[in-house]
Amino acid sequence: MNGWDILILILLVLAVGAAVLSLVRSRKATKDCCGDCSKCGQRCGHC
Amino acid sequence: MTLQELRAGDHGVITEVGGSGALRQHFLDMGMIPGAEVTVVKLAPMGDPMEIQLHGYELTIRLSDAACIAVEPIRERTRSHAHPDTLPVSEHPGLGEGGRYHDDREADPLPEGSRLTYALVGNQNCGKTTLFNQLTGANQHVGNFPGVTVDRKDGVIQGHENTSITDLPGIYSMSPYTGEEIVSRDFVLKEYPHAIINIVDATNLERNLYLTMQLLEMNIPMVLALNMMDELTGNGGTVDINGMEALLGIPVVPISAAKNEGVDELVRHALHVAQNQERPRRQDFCSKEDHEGSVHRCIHAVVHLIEDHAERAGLPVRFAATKAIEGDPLILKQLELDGNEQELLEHILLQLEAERGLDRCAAMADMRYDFIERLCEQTLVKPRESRERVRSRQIDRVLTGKYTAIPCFIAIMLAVFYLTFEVIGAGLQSLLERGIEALSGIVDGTLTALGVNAALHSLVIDGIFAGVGSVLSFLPIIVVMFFFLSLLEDSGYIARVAFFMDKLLRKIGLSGRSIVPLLIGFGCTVPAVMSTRTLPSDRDRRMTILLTPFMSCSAKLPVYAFFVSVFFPGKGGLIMTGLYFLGILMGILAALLYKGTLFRGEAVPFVMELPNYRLPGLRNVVQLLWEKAKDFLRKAFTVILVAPVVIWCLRRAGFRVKAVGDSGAGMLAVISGWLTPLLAPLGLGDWRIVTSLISGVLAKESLVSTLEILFGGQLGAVLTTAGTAALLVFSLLYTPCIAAVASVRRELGARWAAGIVLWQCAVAWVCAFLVQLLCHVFA
Repeated sequence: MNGWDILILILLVLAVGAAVLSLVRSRKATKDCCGDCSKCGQRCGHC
Repeated sequence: MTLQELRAGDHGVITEVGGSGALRQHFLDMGMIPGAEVTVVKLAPMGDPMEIQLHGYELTIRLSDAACIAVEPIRERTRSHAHPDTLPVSEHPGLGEGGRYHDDREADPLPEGSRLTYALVGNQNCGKTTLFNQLTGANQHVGNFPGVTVDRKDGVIQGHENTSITDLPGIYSMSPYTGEEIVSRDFVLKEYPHAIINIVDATNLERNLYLTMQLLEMNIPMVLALNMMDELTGNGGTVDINGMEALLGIPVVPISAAKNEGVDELVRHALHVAQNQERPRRQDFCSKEDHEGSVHRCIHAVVHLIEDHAERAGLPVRFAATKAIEGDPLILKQLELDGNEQELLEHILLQLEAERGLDRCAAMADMRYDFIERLCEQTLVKPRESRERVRSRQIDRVLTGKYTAIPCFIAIMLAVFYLTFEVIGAGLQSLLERGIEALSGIVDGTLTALGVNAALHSLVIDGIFAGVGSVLSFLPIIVVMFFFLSLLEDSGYIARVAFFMDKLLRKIGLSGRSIVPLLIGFGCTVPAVMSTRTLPSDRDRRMTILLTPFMSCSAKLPVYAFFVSVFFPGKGGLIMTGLYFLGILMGILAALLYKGTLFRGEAVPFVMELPNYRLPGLRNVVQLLWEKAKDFLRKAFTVILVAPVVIWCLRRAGFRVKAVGDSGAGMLAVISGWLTPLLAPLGLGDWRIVTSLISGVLAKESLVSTLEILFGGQLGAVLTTAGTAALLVFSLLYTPCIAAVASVRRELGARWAAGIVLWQCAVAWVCAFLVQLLCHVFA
């Protein structure tokens, strides 16, 4: 593995991690729906 | 004779309102009371339902419901609802402001710094959400169809952080006719907002003020916002605001929510009445002189009878009394009257009916409409027929004409699909595709030049770029599709579709209003399921929800387009239209099945208003498209990014945590292999196809990205034409995506959601099998 491989791997892990985090947050938001999608910014499915 | 027997252009005076229960109450609340004059405006193209005009506004009802209303034909409308040409100058009562009329002795202000809560209440389609957006700076979607707001939405009034305003669904009265009415009523009764902002359409005061009178009975501080004043004054009308304020006993503020005029003044008054808890100065609208005081005596007798019960139940006594008179079961239950009291109540009501010559519900509705009529005669200079109304009538001659409505509908829908799939959407899609390909090529070259590890290189190019790229390129098509759907809805056309499709939909056990969720279902199943809340019966709601998965949502477009481009080049339009029609056909068959089994009985009555045609606001449309695009991109970079990476990894990894050279030996192949026998009879017995279908449950678009990764352009070698047709049909009909299932679960519960998943898979399997069989026979 060269330096570029490690860099790409880190970037990939970060991207996938951010996506998974966003998914988890959105699932949690569905549970705690506040009813005001425009303000809370969580895409909970209510909107 | 009955209203049903009147022809277009005939007039009549209502002599009796038949029917029973909530529907009859709804008729009365809408102004269909004995003595009211009606004119039949037109009949729908298939002869049913009919549009009638009463109290100066139009309403559509079915012929079978019109048959419950007895009328006496008249040559001309005699009750002209005369309004003055000019108004006297009246003194400003100064309600809702710290003026000279404010009496500190009565005041019961909230402690300084209290969080002020408001309910925004009004009829359907009177501009509530527009006002909500102006007040809060929010971007809620505004439509031109009764019932766009299906759930409460909260926000903070701009510049007043210590406030909270709730936008409630539009309702016509506080009678529990639809689920929305119960939501709104419960909010006001149980959550005790500090004040109500009642928004009314100034161009249709007679009908809108009916709700206002019921709200006043709730004895909660209130401000009346007269919306669309610009339209009223623009057409020569005017309102004596001071006079109206004095007669109603609450602050009245003229506004134009769309133009943001008068909203600051409204906020000032709302803050004042809420902070100082200034309750309406008047709740007693029954007159001693009216019909020898029969209604007046009855209401006051009931008020005294139930006073202690109402207090115990936490109900406003005047409101509880009028609802007890109307026989509202929810309120009567809360009041817990004992046997003697119930008997006494019944005697009072029998006396009312004997003296007034009307039944109890009609007498109450009549009392309210009488007051409204007197109020309007004193304070309103009626506008001439608005330009918008005249224009709508002219357009309706074609779009809802007897012989033109259905052809126009078909032509409009075909045009929408043609423009989406063949012209605008497809053109933009190919542009985006080229861009993505170019970017992919650059990254590919760069990774090769940098000497990146082959596995990583494959993950980035074959996994992420192929997966996300293939889905991303469908963004233009989805945005264009939503653009047209929102255009149709905002213009007011969708309400007309509900009007003339009612007769057809009734044949499959639904009402015309169900057409809205079904059409939204072509965009996305999630909002379609949500929008069923506007339907007034539980039976219709459940049935419509079960049918929405048959409407092919826009997320399936990438799937169709992908297969069409590979297997049926040049026949895209035909195949896609065929799939859409197959979905509709299966929906109709399922509806007939449901009608005869799960949901026996008749669809609910169809009572709704047709809004004027309006040019959709540019801001509204752009905002909706931006929201949809943002949503799609978010999905593309979460679910659709994660799914290819996971699939790529599972494909390359064996169960013993080591990379496998042959992807057929990977974990993914083994897991999918367990399900392969189920799909083998459909000609889809390949683990890669099974995997793609499973990932399609997460998000339909990821079906394509998974196929792209697993087959890497070699799909043509595996699938036959019959297999492709079966796969297309299976993708069309099998279980909705996880988000849609979650929304079904929210609306109907876990059992129904699970039922839908299994049922859709079974229907999809049978249809795909038949299609495959047919392909073999004809091949």
